[in-house]
Amino acid sequence: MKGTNLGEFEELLMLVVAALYPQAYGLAIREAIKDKAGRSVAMGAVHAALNRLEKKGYLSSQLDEATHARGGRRKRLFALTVSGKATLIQARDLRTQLWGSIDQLSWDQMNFGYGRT
Amino acid sequence: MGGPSHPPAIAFRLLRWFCQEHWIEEIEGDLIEYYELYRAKHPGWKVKIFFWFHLISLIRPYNIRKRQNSIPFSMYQAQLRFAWRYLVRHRSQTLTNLLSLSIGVASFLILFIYVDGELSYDRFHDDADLIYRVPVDFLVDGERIPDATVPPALNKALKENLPQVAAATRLFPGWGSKFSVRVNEQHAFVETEVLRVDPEFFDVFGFHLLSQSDPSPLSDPSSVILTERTAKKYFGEENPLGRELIFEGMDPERRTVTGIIENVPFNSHFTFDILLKLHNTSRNLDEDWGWYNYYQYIKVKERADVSSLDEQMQEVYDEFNTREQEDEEKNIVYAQSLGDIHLTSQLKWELGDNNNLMTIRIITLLGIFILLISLINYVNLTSAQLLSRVKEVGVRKSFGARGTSLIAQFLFESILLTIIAIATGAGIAQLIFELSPDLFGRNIYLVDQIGTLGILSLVVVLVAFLATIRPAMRFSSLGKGPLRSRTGLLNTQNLLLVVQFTASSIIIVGTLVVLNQMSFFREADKGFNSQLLVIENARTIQQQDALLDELLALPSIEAAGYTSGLPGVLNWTTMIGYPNAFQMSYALIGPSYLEAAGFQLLAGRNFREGNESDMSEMHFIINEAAAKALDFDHNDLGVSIPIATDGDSIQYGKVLGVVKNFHFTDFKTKIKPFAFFYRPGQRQNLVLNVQSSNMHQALSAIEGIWDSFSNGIPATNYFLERKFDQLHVREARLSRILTILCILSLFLSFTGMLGIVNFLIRRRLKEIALRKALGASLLQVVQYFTKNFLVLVLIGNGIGLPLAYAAMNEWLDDFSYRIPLSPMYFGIALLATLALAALLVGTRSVVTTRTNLIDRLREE
Repeated sequence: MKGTNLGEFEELLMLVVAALYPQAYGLAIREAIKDKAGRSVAMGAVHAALNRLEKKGYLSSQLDEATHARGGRRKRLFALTVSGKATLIQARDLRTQLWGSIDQLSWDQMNFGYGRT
Repeated sequence: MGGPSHPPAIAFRLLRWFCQEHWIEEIEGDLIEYYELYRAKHPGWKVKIFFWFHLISLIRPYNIRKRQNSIPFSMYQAQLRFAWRYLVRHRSQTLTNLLSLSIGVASFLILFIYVDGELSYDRFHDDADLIYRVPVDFLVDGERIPDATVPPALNKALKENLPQVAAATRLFPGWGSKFSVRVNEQHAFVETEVLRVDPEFFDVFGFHLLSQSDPSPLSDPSSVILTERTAKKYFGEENPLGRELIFEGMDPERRTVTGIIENVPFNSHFTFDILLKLHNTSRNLDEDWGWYNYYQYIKVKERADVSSLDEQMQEVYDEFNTREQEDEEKNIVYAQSLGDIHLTSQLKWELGDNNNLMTIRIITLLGIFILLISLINYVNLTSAQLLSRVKEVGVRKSFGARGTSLIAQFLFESILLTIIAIATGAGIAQLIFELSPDLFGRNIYLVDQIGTLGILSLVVVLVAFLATIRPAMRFSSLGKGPLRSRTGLLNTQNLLLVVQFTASSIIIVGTLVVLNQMSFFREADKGFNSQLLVIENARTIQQQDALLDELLALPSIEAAGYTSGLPGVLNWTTMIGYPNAFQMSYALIGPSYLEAAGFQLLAGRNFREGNESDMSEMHFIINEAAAKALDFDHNDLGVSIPIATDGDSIQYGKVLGVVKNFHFTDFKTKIKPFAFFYRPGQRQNLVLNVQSSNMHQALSAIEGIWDSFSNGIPATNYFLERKFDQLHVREARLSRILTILCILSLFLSFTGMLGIVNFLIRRRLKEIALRKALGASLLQVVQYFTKNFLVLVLIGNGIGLPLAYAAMNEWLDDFSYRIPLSPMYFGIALLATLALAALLVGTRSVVTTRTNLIDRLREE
């Protein structure tokens, strides 16, 4: 099924959204990626990817109640949709399946890259 | 610094401008939260850079606001695409051009905004041109000694006797004293910016009251007006009107807040946090002609005849001044236009740190100069580049491009590049404003300077237009005559290089001289130890002696003492001397002060603790300058000598000791006579010589002892060294601006020359190849190229260095204590520019010559 493939970053993002639920919003997601994966990403990159995933129907979002923190601005809280969850599971299954099919031999024979000569 | 810092407001304006309504709230929230989160972990400037990085990363196609009128954009889409392709293909040239132009734009913006700020001083008042200050010139032995302060009785006399005067007010500042203001049991604040004024203050000046509990809020001596900032500091968000404040030690002590006034803008020549009503219980100020301690301001009526204002004021002064005798020389009063004070007035006792017009002119010229250089750079690089596009034009024409569309294409490229350059330049300028707010002493946002930006953009785009239109038009008529690169162009380029190196050498010398003079201030022997800790509100302590004893018991404190005045800060003056009186500054001290501050006693002795005779009227310790002025020789030590005249009688006094001369004002002023008197009683400043490897610990130990004496008033302290740096704050600012300009001008010269060298070498590749083929060595070829450039550099230095010598000599002459103009500065400038040119041209020509030149000859 073409079109349901997830990018590596998108997958990471969806997993973080799921892990942070119900407090998954832009900055919290960025900070989680920074802490857990050690990747420092621009807020713009996170924001753009979240919106892309929402457009694809994998995430849904709604605005939080206003609080005094953050200068009184509301947060946009993200959550996985049913199809988002299905896609994640599908991605994981594909991987498990592939991992299971790796022969021990291929590990032992692993090359360190190859040159022309 | 301290205080809460906020994410830059301009960032949010930018966000609201580009971003669709729909996304704004969550993005703003995330950004604010981010800023709060990271502010704790990193220094402010770093957080700001990260913050901007994230903000810019948030500009994405999906959230950009869709504007209605996008039709012109699509019309030019093709041209835009061509232009973009061309600029990207020649990216090194594009980059050179872009950098040089944007740096020019950035420097000009920075300097212009600085100058604009300086010129805007005091123009914010309504009818600023109707407001005058009235200072006085003292006449002493036929010499005019200008002074900003006048007696308080002048106010009434002027108001009642000059028909032109619409309103008049006196100003009486705090003169450096500390006011202890208690808000409630727990909170007391130490204030310095307390201004006492007449109720008519608001008729003269245009400061706006934001709220008031009374139609005339300064009518009562117990009323207080706070600036918005101060009110917030005292009461937070609560309503300050009607609240009571206790001004400790003042009469009356209890005062009520009757008004809130807007904060004083940066461009006012005097500033204040608190306004009080001018009033004195012990003397009648309206009759006092003897106390020259008040600043007098008047506002004249609209269309009033001010041509003879000075003469009329003099008449009033002479007629009503009861203190002036008939036969005595009369002091001269005159009117000084409010708008002129900041830039031209350098009287004694100025209220603020005034600038001078010369510095402003120099900076303006430099700004224009740098912009000009980068513009000429652009013109030359662009026209050089266009000449190498003959083939492209040929192809376009053979495909049927018409003349006008060719011109349009070139213009489009050029203007696109300039617009990018202007945006980059504005970005750089804003970044510099953000990173070093103390460079200009205020916060600057380019959005508020949109007019400046607009005019600058117009000029730059116009120049780009003119630079492109001529070569482009020649192209469009291509085929009607042979196209040659005219030698005239090269001459312009040479001329430009000379101009650039002239400017560079002047700026290098200037920077070196200013930096060295600045470090001379810091390192020169001031005649005393300036590494002192000063507690400036010691007057609030009742038992000063007991405090001193306890502090001296601390191991970290070498010595300590009390004094009324300090070098580098405010000192009182008096007239003294016999038979000729001169002005002498003085301080009232305790005996241990001399040792604590490290003054060197050359002759005589220090005061003795508790010695009654040492505390008496005219027994003092003087500096060498005072000894000279008194015509004092060392046999007179401790002997009664005539000191001053008081009416007809002669006063006698004793000099107990002489200390080495020391700098008690800035280095512009010659060291003047100074005297120390020993007086018992409370002193303003406590001076501590702290010697400790752990300053932090030492300070908290001092604070602990202070707190046991102070009744809850916190010690306000500073290191004396800092006050000395503040005396030269203008020079420090100038040196920082010059350093930046120095780097920028070298960079501009570099990029300009790089462009021209590249262009020249590309045009002469065949020539180089032929020369090599005929046996020229690498060295010869390099020499051949470098020589011309070095000659240009030498010419530039030949013009620049003498100019720099003259200018810096003049600048240094302003200081009584200055560094010599060492030839080293000129040597460094010459070598730096020569080395830069040699390095640049050398490496470029070596690189070119080392490639296989046969390929070049085979081409075509």
